[in-house]
Amino acid sequence: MTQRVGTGFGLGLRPPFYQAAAAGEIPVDWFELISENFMVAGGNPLRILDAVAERYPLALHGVSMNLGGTDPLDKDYLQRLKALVVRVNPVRVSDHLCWTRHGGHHLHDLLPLPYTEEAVSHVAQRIGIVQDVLQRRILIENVSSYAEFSQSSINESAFLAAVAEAADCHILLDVNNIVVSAHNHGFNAEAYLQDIPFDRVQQIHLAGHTVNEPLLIDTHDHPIADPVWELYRQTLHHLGAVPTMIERDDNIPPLTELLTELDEARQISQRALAA
Amino acid sequence: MTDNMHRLQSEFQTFLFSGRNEQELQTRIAESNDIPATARLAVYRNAYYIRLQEALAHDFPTLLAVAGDARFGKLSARFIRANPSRHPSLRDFGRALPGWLREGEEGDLAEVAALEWAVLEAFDAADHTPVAAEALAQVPPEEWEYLGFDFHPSVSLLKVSCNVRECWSVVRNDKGAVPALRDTEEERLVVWRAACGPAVQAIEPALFSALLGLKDGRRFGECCLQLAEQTSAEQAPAIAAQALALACNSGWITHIQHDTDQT
Repeated sequence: MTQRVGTGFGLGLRPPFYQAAAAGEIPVDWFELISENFMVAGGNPLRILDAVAERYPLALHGVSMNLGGTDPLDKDYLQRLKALVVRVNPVRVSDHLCWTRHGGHHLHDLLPLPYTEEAVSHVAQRIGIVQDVLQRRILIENVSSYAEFSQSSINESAFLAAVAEAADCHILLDVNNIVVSAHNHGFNAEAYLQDIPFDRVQQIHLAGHTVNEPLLIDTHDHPIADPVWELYRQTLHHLGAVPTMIERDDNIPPLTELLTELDEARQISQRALAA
Repeated sequence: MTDNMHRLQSEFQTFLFSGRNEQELQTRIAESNDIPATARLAVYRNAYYIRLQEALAHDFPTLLAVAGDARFGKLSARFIRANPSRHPSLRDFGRALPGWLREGEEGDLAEVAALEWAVLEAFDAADHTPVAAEALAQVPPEEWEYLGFDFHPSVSLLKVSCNVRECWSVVRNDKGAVPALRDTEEERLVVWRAACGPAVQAIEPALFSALLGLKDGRRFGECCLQLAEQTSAEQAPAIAAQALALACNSGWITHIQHDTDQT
């Protein structure tokens, strides 16, 4: 069985939960936090960070590494991320398989890449640089997309697998993103899984999305949809126990509601492992 | 080696910023699921503007309340077009807003944005331990002339000429409808991070001048000379000492530089 660090079930650490998390009052196995939110000089964010890090394992999840961009990697950003890694000793460090910056301008979105050999080679080389700086393997996450490029020569799942193999990095498999992209581009979500090198998957994201016909939008502002639960079940049949967390960024419900969703994930996992 | 990716990303970015090359970019989009490329691309362009506008609304709630939704929507859209983000974190996106407002057509709102940005900077400024108020009392009187002071990174000094502090306080404390912005006598404000969070305090003009000089790196003696030009040679040392006592008691000073530090 693949060795996975920090198994169990976590939540995204968001401001409404800061105080309770800092006090160790939230019954989760770990928290994932957005790296950029804690790349600040001091004050309350870092006090919260240190307090939460004392009580829970943490995973750092970035949104601005720009692994797929053609701008040079931002050395200052990487050093700040490294400082954060040293500070909290996270169980995992992840970012997205996408581009986020161009010509020195940050777009603050997870923008799609063409699925080409050129892109595989380019992104893998940049992941290698990041892993050298951080002195650890990172996880790359599949993003939701609303457009694919006609120049792509392979499909998304093969692209994700090829990048992970070429870079020798891990994968953060976002099950909601698979469902969203499968709907938007008309591919089969179950077939997507067949391409994934399961031994590289170290974490799973679950989240809700918005139906905005004809597209699904990855909004993280709804409960997890049934097709996502179903694909999660199928994913676990392939993977076994994988650290799983729920991302909720907007329309954030009471904590008890998220913990109930997390219990659902836990039960699905237990049933999958028992089968 | 990455010419194709570079060109594609340039085109995509141009589309996000202006939308003017949409037809050209549409030819790059794969057809699938009978969903038109225009609908696909619209998701990205809308999200780009909405995300940045939400970041500004989050960081400048008083500006939003004072300007109203419609005016805030228009000014934030213009700001986004004129100031693409240069920071990995959205936390920094609004940094240029106060200056952009001051120099543009919305100058009446610049002081509101400046105060809110100072508050945000105070919130997550670097942590430094303030010197104890007693530390000053231990300095022999003959050394005061040469003393310099490091201020806590959260401290900002602002002059405003409208009821910005009142508006900020109403919004900050959720006290109902924000008052209309109106001109007032010039007010001098100190913004800093107190134990309970960012704080804003109005202070006397003479104390403000003294603090401004000290924060700019002037020695205590230089500061007194400067103050003497505004007040009198007799009053200046007492005012400077009062300003310093206020700063120390409020936790705004993190280090006292003695003359020997200059070397």
